Amino acid sequence: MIADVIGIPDPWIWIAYLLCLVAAALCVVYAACLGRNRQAEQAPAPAPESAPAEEMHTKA
Amino acid sequence: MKIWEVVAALFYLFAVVYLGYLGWKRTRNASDYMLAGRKAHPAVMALSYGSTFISTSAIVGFGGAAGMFGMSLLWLTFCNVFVGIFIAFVFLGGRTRRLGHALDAHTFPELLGRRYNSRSIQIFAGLVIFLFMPVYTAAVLIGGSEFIVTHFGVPYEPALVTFAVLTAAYVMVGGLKGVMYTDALQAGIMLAGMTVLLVATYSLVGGVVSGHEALTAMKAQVFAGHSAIGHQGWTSMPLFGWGDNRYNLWWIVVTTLVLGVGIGVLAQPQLIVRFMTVKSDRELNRAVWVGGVFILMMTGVAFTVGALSNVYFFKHEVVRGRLIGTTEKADVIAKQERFETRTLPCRLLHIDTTGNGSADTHLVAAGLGKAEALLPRAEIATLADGRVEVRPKSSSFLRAVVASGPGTWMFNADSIIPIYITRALPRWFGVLFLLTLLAAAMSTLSSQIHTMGTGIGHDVFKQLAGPQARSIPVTRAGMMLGILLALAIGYYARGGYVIARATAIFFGLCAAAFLPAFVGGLYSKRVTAGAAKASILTGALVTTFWLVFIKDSEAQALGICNALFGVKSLLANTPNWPVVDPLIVALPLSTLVLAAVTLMGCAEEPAGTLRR
Repeated sequence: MIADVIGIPDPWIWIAYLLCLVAAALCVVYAACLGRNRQAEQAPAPAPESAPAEEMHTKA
Repeated sequence: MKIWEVVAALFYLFAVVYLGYLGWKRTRNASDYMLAGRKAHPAVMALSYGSTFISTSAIVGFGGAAGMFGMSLLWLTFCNVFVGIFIAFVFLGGRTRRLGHALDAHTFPELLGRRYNSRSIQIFAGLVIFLFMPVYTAAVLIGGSEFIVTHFGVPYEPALVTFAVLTAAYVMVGGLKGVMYTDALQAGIMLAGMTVLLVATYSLVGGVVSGHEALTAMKAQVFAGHSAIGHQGWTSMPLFGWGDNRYNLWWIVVTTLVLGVGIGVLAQPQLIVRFMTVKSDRELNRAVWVGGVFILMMTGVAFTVGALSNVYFFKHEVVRGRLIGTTEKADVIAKQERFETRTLPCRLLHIDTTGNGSADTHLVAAGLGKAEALLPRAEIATLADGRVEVRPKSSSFLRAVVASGPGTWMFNADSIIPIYITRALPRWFGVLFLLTLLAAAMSTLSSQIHTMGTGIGHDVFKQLAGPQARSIPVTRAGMMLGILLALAIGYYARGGYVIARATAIFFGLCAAAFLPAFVGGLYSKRVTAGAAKASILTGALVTTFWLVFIKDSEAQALGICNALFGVKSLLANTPNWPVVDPLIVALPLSTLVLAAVTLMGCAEEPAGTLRR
């Protein structure tokens, strides 16, 4: 029984415990599959030039 | 504080300032300032997203809530990873990035405003963020300050101010490039700190299975006040049902702590802009695994350790030191609301464990009168050298006794993690954990401050004053005002797991107000500006109404309901409703309104920006 392996008797808690690990594994597998194989999408046409940062550096 | 601790802290601060300076140097235009030039590396973006998402609120606040309520909070970790990372990156991130690029949007309100061709949406969203984000900022500030108070024995107020000043300093000049560089460094420190914490904790409690079994066996130690609202032990879900106060905890944990934050993350303005900082969807896909593992290691560890701290305090903790004094009858605050304070009389011990002559550890020796059965009875022995050896035999919540003022004491869930770190782990880890918390707080605070500033400067002022107006001074003034508001909230709000509650308020508000319009705007061309406005207004107004008139703790704190109607909540006499989170009511309503107004107004031309 999974409850014995984890040491948590309440199924609502050990399911949550396992789902945390499964969700993180899903992220890893997804990135490994799609992050590598999917063609990099064409970057969209350059956005309009951004407004200057309005003297953020307050240069003389 | 020892010299090497000072050196470690200074080295960390130097690295943060240097990275902030690098960001400042490379900030050339508004896009750099607000979106890191849209060319962030996927790992930097994911770590920045993760470290912005996770703060002292998650580690100290929600970790403390797990210490009090148990492992049911792991559902929040699941939501954080699955919803906050997987759903957010895979289903929202790419579309947000492309729309943001196409519309040249720099902030979340600007993205919404341009998507719906509506200045009023941008202004309203900017205002909501500016007005409510200080609540969340205060939560983060309190979390860091509680650790400083516990670890260094300084009073709460100066710790709060110092913590706020430290983080405010570099974000004011660095913009998002500086913020993202430092976020990545901070995420690395956070990962290291939480990994050590997890391993050390499981080792302390005898391993994974033994630790969990020991925690399960402590069911009888649950504080009676928590049992009364449905606490069934730290490895069990609270009692579920409706129509009786013994179900209150289930509704608190699930609706406020789990769903409020678990869903709310999808509409967090400071996180959504992170999607616009990468140059293609491929970067987002590559970032998913970094984000998923990072969030698991942050919240998963914090909540597990928070719950397991009960085993340490009850079974393993031994306090040795000089007894500085005893308060023979202390009325320790167990619950404090504006119109309701519950205290438990007990005998308190004040012990100097470091040898510096001042009491740094405060413990319940035994309850008095009716509280005798509710509070732990410590085992006290006198050593040959005159010192005392105390085994507190306490759960985490009842062990977290802190001064709430001169001569007054409270059980403070937000102090559970700081006390556990200070007591259970070696001193060197305390410094690493302090850096971890500093990193966690600074990475989140910097983005919060940045978002508050751009909310009022870029989204409100510039929209009202016209494109030629210089918004940077207003942005900086907004940042200062936001920090001051957060400081004021942090000063007055302490205790009652306020960190987790304050975080949930902001996350829930953002979800109810913005999520339907945001997702609708990303996925459908049919959603009209009118529908978005109606949905945003509904979400914001229903949430505000619920907080002011229904939700018990918040309505009491604000006092408006009592002033107008003479009751602490309009539904005070109906079980469960006063603890249900506004999100449960407001999000379905704002979603329905969006759908209904869109369907009614389908003859109206859809909001135009997608036509570009």
